[in-house]
Parts: sequence; C-alpha cells; structure tokens
Amino acid sequence: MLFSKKPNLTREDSLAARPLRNSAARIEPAAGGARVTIPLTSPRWGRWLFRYPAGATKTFELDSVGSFVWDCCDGRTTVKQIIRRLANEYNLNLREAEVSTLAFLKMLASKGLIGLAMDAKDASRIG
Amino acid sequence: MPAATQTTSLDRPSTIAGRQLFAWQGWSLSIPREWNPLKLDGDWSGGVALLADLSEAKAGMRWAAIRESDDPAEAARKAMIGEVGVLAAEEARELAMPESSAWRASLLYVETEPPGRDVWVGVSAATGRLVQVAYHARRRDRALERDLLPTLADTPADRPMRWSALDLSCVTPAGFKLTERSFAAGDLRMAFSRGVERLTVRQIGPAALALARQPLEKWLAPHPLGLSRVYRAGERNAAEIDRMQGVKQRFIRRRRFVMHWRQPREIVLVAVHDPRRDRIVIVEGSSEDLAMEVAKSVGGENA
Repeated sequence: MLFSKKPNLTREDSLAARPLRNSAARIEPAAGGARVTIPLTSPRWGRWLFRYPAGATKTFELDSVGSFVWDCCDGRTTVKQIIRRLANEYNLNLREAEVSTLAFLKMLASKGLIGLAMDAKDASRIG
Repeated sequence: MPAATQTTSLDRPSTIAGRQLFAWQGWSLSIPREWNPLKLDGDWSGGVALLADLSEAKAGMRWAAIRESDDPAEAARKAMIGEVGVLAAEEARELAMPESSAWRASLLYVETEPPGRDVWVGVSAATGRLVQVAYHARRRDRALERDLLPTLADTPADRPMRWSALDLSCVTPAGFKLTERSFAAGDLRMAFSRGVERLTVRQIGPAALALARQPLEKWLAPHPLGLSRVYRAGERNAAEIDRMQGVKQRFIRRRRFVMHWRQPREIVLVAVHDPRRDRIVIVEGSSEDLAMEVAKSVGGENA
C-alpha cells in the first residue's frame, strides 16, 4: 500500500470517464444554484484519534453553472459530453468549457462529492 | 522520387460550417470551431502555436523572421529539412498559394502513409517571415491543402493587426505589440503597448452570470495598486458602442507624478455589455478614441 503505483491516466481516459454523484449527497435548490450536503466521515487513518459527531454534515454551495455540471454527473455522461453540453448551454468556447469543467470536477472529486466510473477494459489497463 | 519543382495549385477551399478565425502576431488562419490554441509562445519575430481539439493535437505553427539577404526558397527548404528530414524534404513540392495571400516561397510535404504530419513551409512577402504549418493527418484528407492553407494570411507590423484566440478577438491599431496575455476560463485578457500608449482588452463571460454577481459599473472598480496611486478617478459617463450599452471612466495622472512620463497622462476605461454574445467587454486605453475604436472591434470576427 505504501508503494502502490498511482493510476496512469491519459487525457483520453480522463475525458472518457463518467462522473457519478455520491449517493449519500443530498441536493436542495438555492438562490441561483443549489446546495449539496454530504455526511462527514472520519478518515481511516484518523479514526482512533478523533471522530466526527454522528450526523455531522458538510454543505457546498453551487452556482447555476456548477448545478448544471452536477446534474450531468449521472454515471452515464462522459466528461467529454459534459464539456460539450456546458459549452452549448452557456455559449462558451470549448477550451474554456474544458478548463473550467475539469477544474470543477477535480474539486468535486477531492471533496468526495463525485466518483469517476470507467469502462472495465480501461480500468484494468490503468491498474 | 518526384521532382522538387513539381507545382500544384490549391483547389478552391471547401466551405465548412463552424469555423473560427485564429489570428496571432500578424498572421491569421481559419480553423474549425473545435480547435483551440493550447500553447502560444513567442512574439512577432518568432514563436510557436499548438492547436488541438478535445481529443488530440491537430496542428502546429511556427514562425520566425529571416534576414532580408536570405534567399526565401533556400530558407524554406532548410526549414522543411529541419521539420521532416532530408529524405522526406526531397518529396516536398512547391505549392501555388492564392495570389491574395502573397507568399514568396511555398513548399508542401504530404505524409505518404498516414497517420503522420503534413507540413507546409512558406515565406511571407508581406513580412518576410518564415511560417511553418504542420497538420496531424490521421488519414489522407488533404485538409492542410484544401481547408487551412487557402485561409492563411500575414499582416505587416505597421498595419492594424487582428487578434483572435479562443473567444476573444479585436483589432489593434498599427504598431501595438502584445506585452501580456491571460486566458483564464471566462476571463480573457490581452495587453498591448506602443511607446507610452497602453491598451488592454478584457472579455468576461457568460455576462449573465457576471452581472448577477455585480453590476457593470463595479467591473470598472478593481485596479492594480500602482494605478490607483498614480491616477485619480475622473468623470464617469454612459457609453454606447454599436447599440451596446455600458459605462466609461477617465483616470487622470496626478500632478505629483508628472515625472512619470512613461505612463500615459490619462487612461480611459470602457465597459460594455454585449447581449448578443453574452459577454462583458472592458477596454482600457491611453485615450478615449483608442479605447472606443478597439472596443468596437471586439468580437467582430467570430460572432
């Protein structure tokens, strides 16, 4: 585990991945966007050190663009398709849509709000 | 081995919907809307540009100024050798470019067994620059000859220059050089200078989201510390450019900074909302005429 290899994701792999919302996340509409709430869980390494109180949650505010991308994270739509939809919806240049979408998805993944589903053959190749 | 002097005329370019103009450092090229510049380096006398779509790199460009005493044909030949190697360069043929674009030397190499790179090298009669275009061909589609090269043009540095990259396009008066650029998602900015004169073009989009956060007047407010120290805010008025409504504000250099002769005496900021493109355009110029003239040209080419 200490020396486990990081997955070798190519650009194509990243664009072909399908983001999937965290099933524990609850979403409610807010002014100009939405509010996403997820339960807080203690990290594995720190469980013996501290624990979050039961029922602790964390809330994230999304604007209209963020809500749009969030809605696209259904486990069936690829990152590439999300970028195209965003560009069409907001009349954005493809490159701008790509940069902002990838940055936003990376942030969502780091917060545990989404996961990335990949095809079995791609997953086995990446390792 | 085909003769190196074999000449081929370009077919009439196919009209493909969904194209955009890519104009940088004086040269311009019409490219598919799916392509965008991934890398832009250099200045007017030399640089590189890499164009890609969502999946892969599609084309690359390189330009360099050559000496007036250099033979254009020889310079093109050497550049071709440097790009594809000696053996492949022998298969390159001269390519007749459209008369309107004026190229002194023009060589085209087509990859015999795609996928590979088709490479074109030419010397511009307008600027004397050597320009190379490499197209990443997946199959034999002649896209370089038929669709890209007929649209390639070069502009001398002493003429008004068109700039168009990503979603931002404008025309700068003759002599302005690009000094800085920042292409962040939703906030594109280019800064130019000509002696003491300064010009900055900034575009924010989508405007609907930006204006929901703060009104147009507040987009004029944030300035670098140096600017607010050297300049004092002057009058603010309504601005109208081609039926686009906005505001303009004058900033005047404070008297105690009269020795700062390298900075313009006044700076005029013009901010307008373009509802057709859903963009906010902010132009900062060292005179009102300059700012208004450039603001009118923003977004004209790729609307």
